[in-house]
Parts: sequence; C-alpha cells; structure tokens
Amino acid sequence: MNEQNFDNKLRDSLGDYRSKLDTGALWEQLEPQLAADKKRRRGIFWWWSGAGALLALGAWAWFALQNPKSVSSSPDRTVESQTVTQLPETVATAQGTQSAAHTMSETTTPANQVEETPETEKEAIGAKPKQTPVVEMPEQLVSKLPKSASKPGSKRNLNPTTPLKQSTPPASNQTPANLTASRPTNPVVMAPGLPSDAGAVQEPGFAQQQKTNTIAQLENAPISGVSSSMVAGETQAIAPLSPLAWLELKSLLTTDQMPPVLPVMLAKPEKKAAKTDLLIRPNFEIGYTFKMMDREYADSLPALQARLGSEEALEYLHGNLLLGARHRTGWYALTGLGYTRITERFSFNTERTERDSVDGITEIYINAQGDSIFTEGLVQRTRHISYRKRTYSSYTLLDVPLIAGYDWEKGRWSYGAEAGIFLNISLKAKGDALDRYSDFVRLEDTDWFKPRIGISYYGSLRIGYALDDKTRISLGPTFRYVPNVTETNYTQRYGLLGLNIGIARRF
Amino acid sequence: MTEHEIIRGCKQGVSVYQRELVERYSPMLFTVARRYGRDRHAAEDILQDALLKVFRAIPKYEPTGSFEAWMRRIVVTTALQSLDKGWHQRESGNLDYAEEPIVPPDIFSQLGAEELLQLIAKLPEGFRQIFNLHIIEQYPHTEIAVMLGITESTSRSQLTRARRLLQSMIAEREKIKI
Repeated sequence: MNEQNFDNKLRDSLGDYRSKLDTGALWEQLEPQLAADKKRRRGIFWWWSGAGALLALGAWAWFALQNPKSVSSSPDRTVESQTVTQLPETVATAQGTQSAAHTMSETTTPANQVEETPETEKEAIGAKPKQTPVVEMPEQLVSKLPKSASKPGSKRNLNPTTPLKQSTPPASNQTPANLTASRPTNPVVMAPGLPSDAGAVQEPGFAQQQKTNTIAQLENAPISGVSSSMVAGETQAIAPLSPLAWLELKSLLTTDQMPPVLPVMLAKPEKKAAKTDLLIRPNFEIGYTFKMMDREYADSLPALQARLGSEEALEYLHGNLLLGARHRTGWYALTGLGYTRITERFSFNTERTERDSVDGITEIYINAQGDSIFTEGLVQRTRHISYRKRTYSSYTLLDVPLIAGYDWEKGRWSYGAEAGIFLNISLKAKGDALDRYSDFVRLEDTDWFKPRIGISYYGSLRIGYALDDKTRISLGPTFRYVPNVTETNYTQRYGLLGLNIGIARRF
Repeated sequence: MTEHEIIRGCKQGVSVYQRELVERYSPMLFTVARRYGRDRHAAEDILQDALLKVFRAIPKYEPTGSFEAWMRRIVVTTALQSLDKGWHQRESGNLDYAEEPIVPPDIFSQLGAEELLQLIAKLPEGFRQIFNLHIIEQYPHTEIAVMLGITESTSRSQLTRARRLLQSMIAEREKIKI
C-alpha cells in the first residue's frame, strides 16, 4: 500500500469516529466552572461600575472643593461681581462729589449708576473705608496716553458735551453713605494744575486729560481717603480709562516708568486660597518579590513541589502615574494607571532512562566466503535523556491604583502614610513552568492566569522634601500584597516589598 | 435543537444549550483529543480544557465556516499547548532502521478505529503530533513547522518515520493475530 492510500484509509477510518464518553460526567465537571465564569463576568461588570462611580465621585468632589459656592449665592461676591460689571461705565467722581459745582459741569456721570450701586456695596464700603494712594504721573507719560483713552461720544468715557445729570447732592450735603454711593470703581487719570490748552495730547477726545497729571486708583477709595490736593480745587477733570485704553497704557509703560501704584492696579485680584489642590505624581518602584504557592487539592502535591523547586521569584519593577487631589489639611486621594513587572527564574534539570524493544540486527554471521548474514529480531533500546533548562519568566500587571493618604508638612519636609487598593485590569505571564505531568509548558500558551480584574492591597510610608512651593519629591518603603493570580489547582500569591520614589506637583 | 439554536443559546450562556453542545459534540471532539493525548486520562483533560475554551470563545464565534471544524481546531490547539515541544529534538535521530513494512491493502477493514487510536497513542509524542496534524487534520508542513516551532524538513522527516513506525506496528499486530 503506498503512502497516499495509507493516509486516505487512515483518515477515513478516524475522520468521523466518535469515541465512547460519559458526557454526563463531563458536564458535571464543566458546569461548576462555567457557573464560576458567569459569576466572574458579573463581578467584572460590578468592579468596573464601582471604579467608574468612584472616579466620578472623586471628580465631582474635586470640582466642588475648587468652587465652594456659586457667585450668586454670596453677598460678598455680589459686590465684586457688580463692581466689575460696572467698571467701565462708572465715572470717577469721588473728588467730584466734593467739588461738584465745578466738576459736574465737565463730567458726565450717568445717574443710574448711583442708583444701581447695590446696597450691600454701600454698606460694605461705608463701614470700612480704605485709603488709596495718589501718585503723581510724569508728564512724559501723560503725553503718551493713548488716543483711545477718551474718545468723544464714547459711551464708556467722559464726554464734555453730554449734559450733566444732577445725580448727586452738593458736596456740603454729602453724607458718607451718599459719598460712597458715587464712588468710582475704575482707574482714573487726573491732571490738575495744567491749563486747559496746555496738554500734551491735542486729540479732541483727550481734552480733559490735558488738565490732569495724576493717576489715582480710586477703586475702593472712599471720599474720606481722597487727597487734600485733589480736594483743593486744582482738579478740573476726571477721565476714566476704558479697558482698551488701559491695556494700551499698560503696553506703553515700562516697568521702571510705572508708578508705584500701577503694579497694584495691574495685579490680578488675589484668589482665595483653594482648599484643594490638584496633584499629579509619577512614581517608580523597585523591590524584592516574595512568592507564595500552595495547592487546593491533595493530589497536586508532587506537581506543586516540582514548581516550587523550579521557580524562584526575583525582583519587581513598578511605575505609575497618579492624579488626584490634596486637601490643605494634608489628606489626599490619588488614582491613575500603574504597570508592574515581576521577574522569576525557571531552572530545571532532569535525567531519565527509557527502555523499549525495537526491531534490529541481533546477529551478524560471516561465512567462509566472507559474506555477511544478518539476523534481525527485537533488540533492546535504551535512551538516556538529560535535560537542563534555565530561563526567566515574567508576570506583567496593569493596575488602576486607588490610594488615600495623609502627609504632615513641617517646613520643607513632610512625613506621611498612604494605603489603598490596586485594581488589576490585565495580567500576562511569559516564560516556562512545569505542568501537572512535570512537562515543560510555556506560560503564555496556558490559561492558568486570570485575565480578569483582581485586587491587590497597598501601603506605604513616605518622607518628602519640597523642591519649591509646588513640587515635592517623596520616597518611602512600600508593601503590596497580590492575592491568588492563577486559575489552576494551585494558589499563587505575591508580596512585593520595595522602595518607591515619586515627584508630586500641585496645581 | 438545531446547531444554530445551540450556538445562539451558548452565546447567551444558557446552560441547557451548553449541555446539549457537550452531549452532541464531545464524543467527536474526544476522538481528536485521544489522538493527541498520551492516554485516555490526558485526552479527557484536553477535552475539558478545550470545551471551556469553546464556551469562553463562542460569543465571538461567527458562523462563516463549519462549527465542528472550529471546535476541532480549538481541541487541537489545546492539545498542542499541553504537550511538550522538546520531544521533537530528543526523538530525532532514532528509528532510522525502520524500513517500509508491508501493510496489506485490506488492513483497515480488519482494524477498527478504536485499535487504530490505540496504535497511534503508542507513537512517540512528537511523531504523534505531526502525524495527526498532517495525515488527519491535513495541515501543510509549513504550518506544522510554525505551530510546533520546528523546521519544515524536521516535520517531513518525522512524518515519514511516524508513518513507517505506525505501519510496522500494524504489521506486527497482524503477525501476532496470525
């Protein structure tokens, strides 16, 4: 029979053959494992849902801590908010109200501004007056004032042709409350003492600035704080700057030309110190791995001993990028993504002897003519097999850490502790091991390890040093316990003891 | 219960359909596992692992080809993963003495499938894998070489040796019967 016929006959004989099998017993073995699979899938769903909810809660908490109250609900904020919105439209009349007789004839103050000033603002300002410094402005700077500083007809600037609306009572009748009601809320340029036709800027719209040479920040300045020189009657005009004009003025002034008040004026209003800072912290960790293996069934003891004798845990590396929030009390919460790689050495030496009988030459007879005559029969064949293998295996884990901690800052140094869990979202094994028959098996070809989510437990002590007010380097010993990672008859657990270093940056 | 219904039920994880799949297809799949396993016990383990893989992978199964062929392939892959690849190196160089034995043309009518399976199980592990993959599953040598991590020439030479060894075992069995 040739090879082709032999192959075809063999294929025909075995192709559709169905071996006898107790399918009921097989199903009984499979059913619990399938049920466990189903339960595990449900577990994964709940884990992800829980992690998602936790992240959403963390995000919400962080935003809530960053913005503790809405603007509209705070009286203080209301004042600030209205002041800001009225800024371009409010005309500086602080001193004008003192000398209303001659100031009012040249300035326009929309009457409704006084009426619009909120009561809360009046009370606040009236109750606690502040003095604002008045700074003399060099004449050369006055000459550089932009054309847009005061344009005729501009809604936001002085218009000498606009009829005056008598919105404020005479100066002599001013009460503190009334005075504060007309308090200007924007930067003002004033030039007292100059004749009306002697200004450096000849633009028609800038006529009033020709009479001014003083820059005063009148925002938050009550009448009681106005300089006596301003009240002395020298001030003939008050010109507010539109935001655009103010920006142009800023661009013209160099730092050393800037009058001392300007940095204050230009400075952004200082924010309230946030209760919670955003924190970002990359970490690197290296350490020693403790491997713990045990068996679930008594009959797997020899195989377990074979694995224990052939596998040795070495070091591990871990890196992660954490993001979170830190409360000023010292408590913080972090989450992110982490990568862990555990290295093991697999070494196995074996020797065995196999004996069987095969066909062979049992006797060679050489006759008188010199011909060789072979006698064939069964001969014993002995094979000595020696095998030595030494490779390195690795287990890689992808984790989502959920960490909470506290640190106590003392000067540049800080001391703290943190703990949490790592949600394992991926586990890959690569390398060699012995299977239950003590044969070599590639770990990546097996389904021993759980591709599903798992939990490991983490704790660390930390000591930190501030590099600057936002950056802090910290390091400390860490311990992590990784529960069973296999789906075999063994349990395979790890303890990771290492040193972690991280750099935290606050925002 | 049709094959389509079984697949749909298994995709939904309904245990009635899963059980039906096991009862209907596992004898056929067990034959495949036996050809690769060293004994019946090993074949049962292979089958059990393979069926778990079938149930885990079935949600992704798309009925573009034969469902049976898809499951057979999973059994073969599982069997190969559970076997030792080092055998190919250790077993090469042996059995050079074997000449092509004379196998009577009607031998397969006398030999049952069960006896053939028992003889195949006696083949050395590496030979058995290549023999099954090429003769029964009809994989080309190029693919076998990739699957087992060996060269194509090794696959060819070991197949020749495996075939001769099996033929000699069949011939020997016939001698004993006579």
